[in-house]
Amino acid sequence: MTLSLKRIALCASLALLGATAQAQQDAPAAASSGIAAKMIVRGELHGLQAVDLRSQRRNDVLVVQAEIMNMDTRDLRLYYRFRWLDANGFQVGDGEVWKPLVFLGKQSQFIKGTAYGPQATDFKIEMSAEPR
Amino acid sequence: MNKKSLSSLAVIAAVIGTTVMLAGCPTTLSQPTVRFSRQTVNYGDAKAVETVTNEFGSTDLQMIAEKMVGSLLEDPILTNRPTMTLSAVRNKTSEYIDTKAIMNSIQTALVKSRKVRFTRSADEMQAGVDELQRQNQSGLYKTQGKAKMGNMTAAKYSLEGEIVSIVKQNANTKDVFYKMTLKVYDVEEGTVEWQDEKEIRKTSTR
Repeated sequence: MTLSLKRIALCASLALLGATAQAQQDAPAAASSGIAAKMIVRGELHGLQAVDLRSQRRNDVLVVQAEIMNMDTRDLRLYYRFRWLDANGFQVGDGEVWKPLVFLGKQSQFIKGTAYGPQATDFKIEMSAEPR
Repeated sequence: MNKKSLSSLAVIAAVIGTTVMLAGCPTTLSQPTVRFSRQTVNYGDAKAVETVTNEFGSTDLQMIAEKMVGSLLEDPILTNRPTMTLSAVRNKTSEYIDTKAIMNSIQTALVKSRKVRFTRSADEMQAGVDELQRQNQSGLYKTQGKAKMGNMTAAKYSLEGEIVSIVKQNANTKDVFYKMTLKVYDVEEGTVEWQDEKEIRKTSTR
């Protein structure tokens, strides 16, 4: 009987561990569907989440700012870049360089991008993350 | 609950736990960084993050250029498509850095944006003068279509800057801090009309 109880406790712990891992994996990459529509996410963001996204035209050039929050307690490294599109959905410019950004646990940071010129009317943010 | 029921429950819980754990393990995707393959030659992504050493590299050059271009483009200084020229960028780091490559990347992006017009820099002037003299003084060309002397447009603004670095090192860690400062001067008035900085920190451990 004691052995069985131990096995139950062990299995329950494993299930809990699995559920925690699943919950972490399921943490959405964006806080809303509107923000998610502007993101291209490679695989899992390991707990990073875009919590705010805003854009405006300054001097006839599209400027975008996103607030990214690390929902996890682990440090993470984000790789990101903006993709700029014209009114017909064609990419403007050659594409940006991937930029690394380190997030400490529970840290929030802003990322900002400026389009290559007036011809860009839309954008996407491409993201990829790994544990630091 | 008897012993058999408890055992069955344990087995079910184990199956659920294992399934959930396996589902919770994401497939590992490679990151957009430069790979160090041995004895092979591969074309890689020119936009990937390069961390081969912590010396100044392609990612630093590209990040600096992007930051400066973005900052300039959203500034009202470029409202009326002014003329600009490239001046010297001083390298005050301990490394050899081709600052002209940084400035060329900045110039390329600005020209493609069509928000600014660039005039020949001091480095590029001799080639322009040679061509003008060839067209006007060699006697080889007919008058129609010939580029006339004295019609060059002077730059309203001059783009100048410098890059510095701070290096700290101990037995197992090396920390390099780069700071690129770029300024736009009004040539006539000598005033700074725009200025921005890009800072980069790179740390490596043995």
